[in-house]
Amino acid sequence: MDIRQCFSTRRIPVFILLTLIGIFLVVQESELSPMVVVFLVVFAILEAQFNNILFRSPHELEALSMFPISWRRVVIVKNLATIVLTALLTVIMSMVVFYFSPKAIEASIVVEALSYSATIIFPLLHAGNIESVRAPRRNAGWQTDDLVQAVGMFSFIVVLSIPYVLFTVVLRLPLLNIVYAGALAWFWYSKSIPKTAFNIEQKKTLLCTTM
Amino acid sequence: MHNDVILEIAQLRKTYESGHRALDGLSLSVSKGTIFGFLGLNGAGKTTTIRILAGLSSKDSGTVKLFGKEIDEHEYDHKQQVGFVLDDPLYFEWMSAGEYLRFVGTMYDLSLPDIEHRTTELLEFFDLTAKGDDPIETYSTGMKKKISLAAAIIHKPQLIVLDEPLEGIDALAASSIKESLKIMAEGGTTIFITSHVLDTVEKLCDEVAIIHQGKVLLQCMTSEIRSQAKGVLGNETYASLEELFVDLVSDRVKKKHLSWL
Repeated sequence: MDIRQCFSTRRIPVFILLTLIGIFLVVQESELSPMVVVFLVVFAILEAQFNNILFRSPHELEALSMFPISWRRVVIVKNLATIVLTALLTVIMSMVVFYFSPKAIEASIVVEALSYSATIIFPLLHAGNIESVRAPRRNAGWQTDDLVQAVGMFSFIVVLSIPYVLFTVVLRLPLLNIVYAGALAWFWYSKSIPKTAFNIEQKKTLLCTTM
Repeated sequence: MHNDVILEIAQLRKTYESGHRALDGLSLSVSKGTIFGFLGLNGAGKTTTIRILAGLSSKDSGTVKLFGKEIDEHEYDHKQQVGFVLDDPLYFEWMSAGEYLRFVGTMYDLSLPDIEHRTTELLEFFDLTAKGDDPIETYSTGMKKKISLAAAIIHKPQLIVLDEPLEGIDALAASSIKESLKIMAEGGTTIFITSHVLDTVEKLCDEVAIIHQGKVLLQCMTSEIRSQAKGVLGNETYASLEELFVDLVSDRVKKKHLSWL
């Protein structure tokens, strides 16, 4: 459902606008890697997908509350959908950005991008799960709250990039990225998901009544 | 009709943060296969009761038993046997009616052939086939209500809870919905329904409860309501449920008038 919603008609203007910004950034004569531009665009598009899992549409929390399903299952499915969307959009945006990029694109960039995204996706999901319960937005779009969340997310991504830089550039042990990503995936599955499901259970009726 | 109690509410209380006391010791019971009318003025506590049943609101105290088992807001297994239509229908407006019904069928763990078969039949029954592929956000209020109702019954629940299900629906559709509710009740499904259209309630429901300020004033079989009301209101004779309702509730509501009329 989340994947289908992400590609719904009303989101097309967001896609077009952010893609144009991506193209603008990549055609500039700068040191910015095309892959950085791709990630900037992808995470900008998917900000609410990460940070607002309870309200991908305005009545989603209430609607899901009435079905005989566990919140643990809902959180897992939503997070997996976010991973699939990140992969899909990264591929689509890479094709667009690489096409317009004046720089030569090497094959190794794809491997590096995969490795990098594996190190940041699980902490992003975890932080997004926390944020979704702490500060849910019934209507996410072009408001101040959305901008604040997006800035927070990009700041967090900068912090999350430090281990990748450490393992790849400083220590020159890129295999450590895989070990690190594996540990983060374990934490996300065994700690973050149950905790998020529990928190939704506790706050659900309050959110339904007060928001 | 059977005598097994499907829904039992005892001493239910709920006060909102604003201080508004929505439910003040509400108690009632609903038997299997009954079409049960839940009546009251705006703000009487009908929607709060339904939201507590749906797990969308918490209760302060009291018990709610469904199918003989006490439930709380964190449980969800019993929802497999319940269908809800709320006053403010909940769906995903960007989906088409067909997509939404298929999604709901999946949520209730129906098999794929069942989902396809029931979706097609429901779209046809509610005259939505022609617009079945359009996003729900383009539908009229009545069509949205029909979608909610279709989604509430797709899993063939034992209990259907309907908050104003006929509001905004045209006469023809309302008639077929009432007919199908009767058929479902004859098959053993219990229907819990709120409506402001008292004439409809009187004709449709086997049993009614009239609530006011979060308490049940009167609960009895529709056929016995006049004799029961005599005990509460004195030896008056009522031509309709509406007349009785107005008399029962107006004693407790400050009458208003416009000075310039």
